[in-house]
Amino acid sequence: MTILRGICIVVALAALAAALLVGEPDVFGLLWLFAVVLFIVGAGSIAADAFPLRRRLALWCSVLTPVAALAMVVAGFARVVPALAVAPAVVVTLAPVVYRPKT
Amino acid sequence: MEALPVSVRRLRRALIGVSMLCALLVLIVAAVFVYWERYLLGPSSGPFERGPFLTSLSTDSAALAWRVRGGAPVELRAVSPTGSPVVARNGRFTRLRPGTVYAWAAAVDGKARASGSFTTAPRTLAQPIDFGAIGDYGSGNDHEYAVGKVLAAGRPAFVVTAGDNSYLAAFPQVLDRNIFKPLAPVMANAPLWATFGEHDVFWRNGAAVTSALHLPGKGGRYTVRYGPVQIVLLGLTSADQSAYAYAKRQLARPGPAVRFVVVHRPLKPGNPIIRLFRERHVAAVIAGHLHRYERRLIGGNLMFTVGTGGEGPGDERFTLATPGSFSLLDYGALRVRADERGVTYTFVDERGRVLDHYRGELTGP
Repeated sequence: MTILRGICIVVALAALAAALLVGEPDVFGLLWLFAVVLFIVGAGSIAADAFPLRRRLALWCSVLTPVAALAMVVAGFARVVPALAVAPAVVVTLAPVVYRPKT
Repeated sequence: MEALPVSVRRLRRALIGVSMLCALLVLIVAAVFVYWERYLLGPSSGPFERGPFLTSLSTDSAALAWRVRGGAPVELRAVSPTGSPVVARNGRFTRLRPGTVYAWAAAVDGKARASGSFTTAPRTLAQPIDFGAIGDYGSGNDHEYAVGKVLAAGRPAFVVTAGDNSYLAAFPQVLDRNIFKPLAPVMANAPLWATFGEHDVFWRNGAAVTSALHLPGKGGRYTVRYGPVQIVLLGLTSADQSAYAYAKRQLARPGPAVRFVVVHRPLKPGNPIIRLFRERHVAAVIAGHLHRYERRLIGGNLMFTVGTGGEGPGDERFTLATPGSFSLLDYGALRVRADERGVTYTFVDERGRVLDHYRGELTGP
């Protein structure tokens, strides 16, 4: 696991905690902040996983991380339940760590 | 993770840095666009291509017309100073109270996109009536815009024009440029009752202007009433039999406390209609054609020439003053106020200066 993925996981879990603990509409401000960090660090994570390419799953999850960050931003406008908006970010950041096929 | 060579590690770090920087820049650009769109850009140009503008006004009704993009439905409402609401049907307000100022708003998609006000005609001259007069204005230049602003500032109940509403000709395609945009501030608050000059009748006898302004008569010849005020508009000239017959018929109609005649070409001595105007106690004749402001008496009739609306005099050698008249070359508009004691005429130039002031009688000089 790269350092950048570690940061992404921490941010995603912090966003999930905020979504569960902070009420609306205050939570959307926090999600904006987490989404910005996730978007930038996620972009770096793409480069880290692409060069050199070791696992395709990790790369795909990195590519999806900025997309998940955008989903968190859109959640506030689309009136989506905050926890549901954070779920994609949690999944795409944790998946490469949790799923390790035996080689 | 197996160890990478130093050069590859450096390259990897550089790539990561560039990626994160790109992401940051993308966010900054997006933020700039959002800020631009939400805070820097003004509101959209609006759904109205033309108007809304007043087309008629009486003691108990008012009508507005407009042209809206895509034929979107327009909600037109007005309210009196005491809070009485009125909803227009097909652009027409009915059952209004005489002599009352109504503020109107035209909403598209639930938002007011145009507004203005109008004053319904009072029943008598106990409540003074203000109106404006311009002529030879439709050139779409800065002078016309200036005169339009000065005119609007006087809050006239209506405006009469003495012709040449659009230069060089009154083609439908140029009317927005020459009439509706320069005079928008005044037309949102007062109907424009226009007669026609040579430049108007050149194209299908002024059919485009008649249609665009929703005028009640063809060729610039019709009569309007605004409570106790009668305005007889004759068209291009008063020097033909049909104009005489029309004026005789209209000026014989009972009711008005004060009558005005509007015609494009100024009266000339020897015209039999001069005597008719005097006999029917016309307060004043308002003309255009000559690109000057002039006030004079002709055969016992008070006559104003207001060809000062915007087109301008051109070469002064061909825009000579009429002998025996008070004459000016300035751009401007005539403000008229009629009350129980008489009529006041004030010529205000495009800078807002009063250049002439005259007090006349309700029944002529």
